[in-house]
Amino acid sequence: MAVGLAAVLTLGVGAGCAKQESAASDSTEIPIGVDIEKSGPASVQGEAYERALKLVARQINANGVKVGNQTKKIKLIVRDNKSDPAESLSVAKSLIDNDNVAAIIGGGASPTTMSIVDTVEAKKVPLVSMGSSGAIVQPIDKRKYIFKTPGNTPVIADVMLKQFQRKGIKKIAVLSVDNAYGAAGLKAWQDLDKAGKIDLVDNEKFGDKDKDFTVQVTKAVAKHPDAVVVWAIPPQAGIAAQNLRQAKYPSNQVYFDTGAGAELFVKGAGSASEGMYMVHSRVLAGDQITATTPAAQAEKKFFTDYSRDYGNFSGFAPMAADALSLIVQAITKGGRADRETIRDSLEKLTFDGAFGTYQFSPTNHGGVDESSLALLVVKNGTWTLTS
Amino acid sequence: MTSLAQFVVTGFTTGATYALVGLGIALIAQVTGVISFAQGEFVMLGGLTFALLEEKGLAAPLAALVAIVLACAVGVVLERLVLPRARAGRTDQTIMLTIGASIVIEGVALVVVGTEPHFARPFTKGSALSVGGVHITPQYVWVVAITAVVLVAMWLLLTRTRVGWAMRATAMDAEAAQLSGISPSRMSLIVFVVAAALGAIGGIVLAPLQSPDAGIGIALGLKGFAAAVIGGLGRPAGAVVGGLALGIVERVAAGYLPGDFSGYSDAIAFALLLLVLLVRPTGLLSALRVERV
Amino acid sequence: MTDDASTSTEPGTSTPVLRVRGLVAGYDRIEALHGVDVEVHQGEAVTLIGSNGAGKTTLLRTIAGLMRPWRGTVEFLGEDVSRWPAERRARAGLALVPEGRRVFAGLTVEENLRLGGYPHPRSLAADGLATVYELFPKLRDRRTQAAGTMSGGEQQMLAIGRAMMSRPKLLLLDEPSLGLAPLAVREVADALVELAGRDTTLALVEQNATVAFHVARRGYLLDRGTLVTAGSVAELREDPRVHEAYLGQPVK
Repeated sequence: MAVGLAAVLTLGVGAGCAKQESAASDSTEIPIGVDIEKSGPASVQGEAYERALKLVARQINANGVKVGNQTKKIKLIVRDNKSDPAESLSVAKSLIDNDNVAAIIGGGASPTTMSIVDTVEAKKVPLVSMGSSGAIVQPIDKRKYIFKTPGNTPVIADVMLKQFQRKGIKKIAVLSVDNAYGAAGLKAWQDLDKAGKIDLVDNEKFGDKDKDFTVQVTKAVAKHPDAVVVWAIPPQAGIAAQNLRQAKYPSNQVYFDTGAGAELFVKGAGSASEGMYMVHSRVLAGDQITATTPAAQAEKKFFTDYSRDYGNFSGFAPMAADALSLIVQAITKGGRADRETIRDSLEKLTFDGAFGTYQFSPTNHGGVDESSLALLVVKNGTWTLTS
Repeated sequence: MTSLAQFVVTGFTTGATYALVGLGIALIAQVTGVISFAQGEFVMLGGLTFALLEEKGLAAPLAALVAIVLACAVGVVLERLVLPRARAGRTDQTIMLTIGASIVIEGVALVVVGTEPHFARPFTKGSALSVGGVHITPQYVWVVAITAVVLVAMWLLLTRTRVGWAMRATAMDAEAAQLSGISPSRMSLIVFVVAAALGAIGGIVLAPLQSPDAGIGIALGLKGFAAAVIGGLGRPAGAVVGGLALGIVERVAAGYLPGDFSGYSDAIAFALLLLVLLVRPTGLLSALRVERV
Repeated sequence: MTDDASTSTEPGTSTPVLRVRGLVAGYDRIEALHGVDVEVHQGEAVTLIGSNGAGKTTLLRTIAGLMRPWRGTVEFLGEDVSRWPAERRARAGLALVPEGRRVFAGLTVEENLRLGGYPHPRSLAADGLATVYELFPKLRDRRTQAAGTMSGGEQQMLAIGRAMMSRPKLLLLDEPSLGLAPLAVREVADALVELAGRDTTLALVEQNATVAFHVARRGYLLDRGTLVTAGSVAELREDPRVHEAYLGQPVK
């Protein structure tokens, strides 16, 4: 009797193992989970991510993915986290436990990523996030499985800082959304303020559902900063641009983080954004790229393909596109499609993507390098590279 | 000082929408005895429909008209749903019903339109005017002017027309109004439609300033309720004053709190509501209240 | 017995303005009227008398449509109106001046009066106003005053005037003298006599027997929801049951 029970248990466990194996290596499809903001306040991002992922998956599946001596296809499993951190966690758990995915792409923003990193790390599933907060990939010893595509927040702040030094800007005010993403931006500037590199004369926060920042803008402008830095995503970034224009603040002294996206002037800001700056990848001005380096050409190709398929380009699209490309590269280089191989392989990867150049290492899981970021300005209603 | 003036101007604009919602809530409460928590949804319906149609290229006045008509139609459905319970004296049920209706309206909007905010163009182009250092965009002027016109029209309706008298009479004494041949169910229908139109207009004028999305209704309904209660639920004029006061206090408080807290303007509004309920349950204007039967 | 009482003094055979048959009505589960028959004929002034709690107010409210009959019918001008809402009965010419006057306190005297004429086209209002002001000259002086700020007697005149504005075919009055100063009681009673003299069909509920018998020519005595007797005012004056109902109040 006892022997029989043990046999059944062994069989059961054995069958379970076999099933897991088959999903990870035997099947002709590689399941990749996607945890993004298809609805809620950040849905503008989620829409761009999903389009970009479908575009890249289609291109990859046209030739298939070489895994050892097999050719497989990518299977995206896209779930909506409703822009809600708690929802994001249940999406991630479901992707890992029910869909048995090889890797996860997401969350699409810092708040929806921060809520899942510990769980994903504990379950040893490789994750590539589109959130920008540095805390997503640090401290590195607790983030062995976690990677991200956007540049680290201090890197973006650094690009702006260089411009400020060139222009003699000393006093700045920061407007930031009151969540993990905005907090990371604010902290970067507070650190620079403490280090004596800039004078942060004012910082103002707004809730992630607010729709009018006249009060915050009025208070910031009253401190007479040489520049106003905005850490917000659309549509809030657009409303901030409008409110700054209403307050007659000069547009060439307004700087947006990457999060403002290409949608800044499409969604909401309209002509109010003319003359304002944003730190982003060169890809946003894809049609103006003339360089012939592999990185520049990858950016230009993605810009062209996406614009052809979907009309307007999105600043968020390349972040998701690269997340998928990075995972596929890791699988090809590692020769296997299991979670451990993907993680180990990602950590050694150097890759020229649509968003820029990635140089991952055991100490750096954090997104495109500074050389891929550029300062863009809205000129005649389109993003233009500054010299 | 200039900052304060700027906060007041901004608060006045948002407050105008609270005032229109609050006025609708007060009128419905007076004529039918129903407290409707669904009135914020009409701001959403009006604003979102207007912005969507405008994005699709419809002329603004036509888009506004369609938005108002849609809101009024939903108002009729809401009234038919709620009134039988109100007649039976089931106040608890009517409140739950309006909350339920609010959730359903939002849900339908989410399914049909999705979660994205939509942007309407300002009614007229042009940059902000500067009056003594205070920046006023043309849309602010539109919001204030249209709200003022609507309020004057409402006042004329209530004081100068037979249907207005009939509404006030029903509010004062429904049975005596019935004895004069006034149908309470007709008055109830009219007041729900009027309140829906008020909300929709509030949503339309605000749409170019604060991109509406399907989820804005519930919070606006609560703000409107706060406005009505702050002004004393029995007085239409009180709801208007309450709404404007709420909008201004919200912005001024956000303006003078340290930057770390300026994201909490909603909490300020509800703290104010609680304070009024505790200190003066009959509303701030109750001292000015004229005798009512 | 009640049948006998109500038919014995019925004048003529034309269709009555109001015919109430076997009316049973009440509040919640408490029955207040246990099958009452009443008729009012064209040009008649009828009074319903009885002690407190006899069911007089219930009877008037059920006739006016503010309460639903449990059983029995209300016929007005030959039509069964038992299922009609109060506002429809008002528009058909069945006017009730309710107990406690119930004027619209926040509206002016003239707004109150105009609301009384709500069922009719606006063009008829001037004519109606003239009639009311002639009957109650005091109201003309107070046209723009808020109704709630007037004395009880003036409010009662306004309530009657408001009902008159609807050009009623039957005027029901519920305790018009209740709570008024003696002088005001007289004024109101005189106005009702004047109205009765102008062939206004009216039914009056009164605790004040002096007023009731001054205005009406015929009456019904109600006791605890049942009709006790009916007859001419002269007959009722002599009836001991009427004296009993009024608990020794002088009946003249």
